Amino acid sequence: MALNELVRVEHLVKYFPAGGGFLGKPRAFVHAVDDVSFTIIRGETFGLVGESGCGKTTTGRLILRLLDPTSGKVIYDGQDILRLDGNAMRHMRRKMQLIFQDAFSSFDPRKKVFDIVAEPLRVHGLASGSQLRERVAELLVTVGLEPRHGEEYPHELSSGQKQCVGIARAISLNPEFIVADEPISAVDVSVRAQVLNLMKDLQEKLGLTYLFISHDMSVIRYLSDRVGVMYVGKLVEYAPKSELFKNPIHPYSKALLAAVPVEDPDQRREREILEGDVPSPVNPPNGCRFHTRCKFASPVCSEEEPPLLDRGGGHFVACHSF
Amino acid sequence: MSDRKDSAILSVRGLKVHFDTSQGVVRAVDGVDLHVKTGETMAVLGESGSGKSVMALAIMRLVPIPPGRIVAGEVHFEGRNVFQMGANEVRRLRGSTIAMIFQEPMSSLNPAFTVGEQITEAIVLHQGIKGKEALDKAIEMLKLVKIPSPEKRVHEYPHQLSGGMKQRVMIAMALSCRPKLLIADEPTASLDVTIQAQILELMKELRRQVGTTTLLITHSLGVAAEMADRATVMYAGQVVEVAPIRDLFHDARHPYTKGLLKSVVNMKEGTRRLDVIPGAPPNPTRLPEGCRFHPRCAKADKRCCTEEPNYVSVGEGRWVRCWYPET
Repeated sequence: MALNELVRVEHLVKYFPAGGGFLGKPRAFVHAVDDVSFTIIRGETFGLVGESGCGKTTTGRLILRLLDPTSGKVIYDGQDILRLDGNAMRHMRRKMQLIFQDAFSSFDPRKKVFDIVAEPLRVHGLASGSQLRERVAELLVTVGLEPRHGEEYPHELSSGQKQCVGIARAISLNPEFIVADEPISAVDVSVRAQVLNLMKDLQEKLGLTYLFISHDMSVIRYLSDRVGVMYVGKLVEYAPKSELFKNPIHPYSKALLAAVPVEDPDQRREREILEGDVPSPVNPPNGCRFHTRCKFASPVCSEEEPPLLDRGGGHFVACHSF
Repeated sequence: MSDRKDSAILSVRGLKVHFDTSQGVVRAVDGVDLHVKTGETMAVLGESGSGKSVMALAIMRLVPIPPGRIVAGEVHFEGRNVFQMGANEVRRLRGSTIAMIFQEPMSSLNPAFTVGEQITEAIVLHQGIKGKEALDKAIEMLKLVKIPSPEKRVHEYPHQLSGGMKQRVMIAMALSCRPKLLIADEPTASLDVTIQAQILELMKELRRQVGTTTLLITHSLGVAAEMADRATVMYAGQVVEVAPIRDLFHDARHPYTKGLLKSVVNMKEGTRRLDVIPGAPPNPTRLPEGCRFHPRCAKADKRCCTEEPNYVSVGEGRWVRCWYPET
């Protein structure tokens, strides 16, 4: 294990039952995450990008053990968290937190902001009375709100402020690792930059490690140190950010990058458009899951699953053609 | 903004649409002017709550009344006032002359009817073709939007299609009566990036083939940059800037537009800290006095806090609603 490694995911698999009758055996499984391995280095932002249904959110939840995997390992700071018992896991949870896409729906609408932020501190018995009030006020200020916002209800806040409350709650236990799942997609466009700045500042100030999950390439590019691309339950490529964006190797990563509309009317171009739809994760294609849409596909691609191999400089790619 | 009246196929003038809610009056659209020229793609850029969708509904006379109210303004389509049309005329206008596609194709398609039945409905209604002929026309439309094996797909139900395919069907339906104006309200916002690219490419190709004037409503600067000839930027129920698309991206004059573009550029360049627009869009029941953007604007002074700015011309075909436009 590398010295500075914080999270190591080994052959992670998660199948969800799909269909099947009442009390009956499920007839099929959604192959949400299928043999995914990677590591997250302490202090970095690892960006996980992919289209809906690719398994990026499930991967995040498995790492936090909010879901138990079908098989595979999650090693956090040298410990296999799947082997921890209830008490030990509870303790571990203080170190790992989640920022939700839609902060508002993760709040109890009848609770005031103060109680929402205070809840983790109360649950873990870390503060009470005036100490708790001080800590919550401090957290609100840290995320750019004011202590008076504690007296408001979440529906009274703007979209950006709601997400800031979500962030305040996530950092309340002084975690070292945060999974941020589409943290700005529900935030007003003109407020997104504020939330991104906040996340960057907090990372520096609190020494946080992020797993940043998003479908938005420009945000991933801006925040991440390394980026992984997922497609139908598989990690198809991962590399240092600049390397991935400059020199994507997997045909899917290339297509994904080319598909993003550029915010410059002078750069309109005839793009190569990826044909077809994303295959269903219930019945993923054999071999390479991308072969049905890949113009480089050869017979081997539909038969053998390509292994994820290091092409040098920490640039991992799962593709037969390159 | 009177100089483009002549060439405009669609003119919205001083439109105000308000909604009565338990929280108070929501001034969703509050004095909007918009002029779309024949053949062009006009983007209406704005974030959620800016009033862009309500404006589109008002153009089609689809605002639910009550709780909505058309408080002021006119919508002229090919010189005729839409608000003064009779029920029959409006029905002809919708679907046949102006067609609309929405953000969520899943909720706009009827799950109980096949794709073919839904496309032919408009064809039968507006074009007086029936039976086999109408079905053939539907298949032809599916072919146009590049749905594979259209003869088979035409008999399928919406749930058998993927999100991208459903949006193609919506576009086929919208174009089936050769509308003069297509209103596309966030047509790709619910789609994945690679599917979005397919739909945008399809829309561009159809524009070349069919030449439909398009009003493209979007919150995405990228989609606007990719698709539009001109853009109208909305903020808090009002238009803040109108410009040809290149001018907008290279030389925005309203502090709001400028602020939005700044953080995009920052992100691209990997700037350590992004330049931000402080604060948040206003609550629509409690809009600020004066310029609606003043609480978030670095340049705002006394005048901005009390007096509402009017449109100022800042160049060829360029308008900005600001007391102190950027230079």
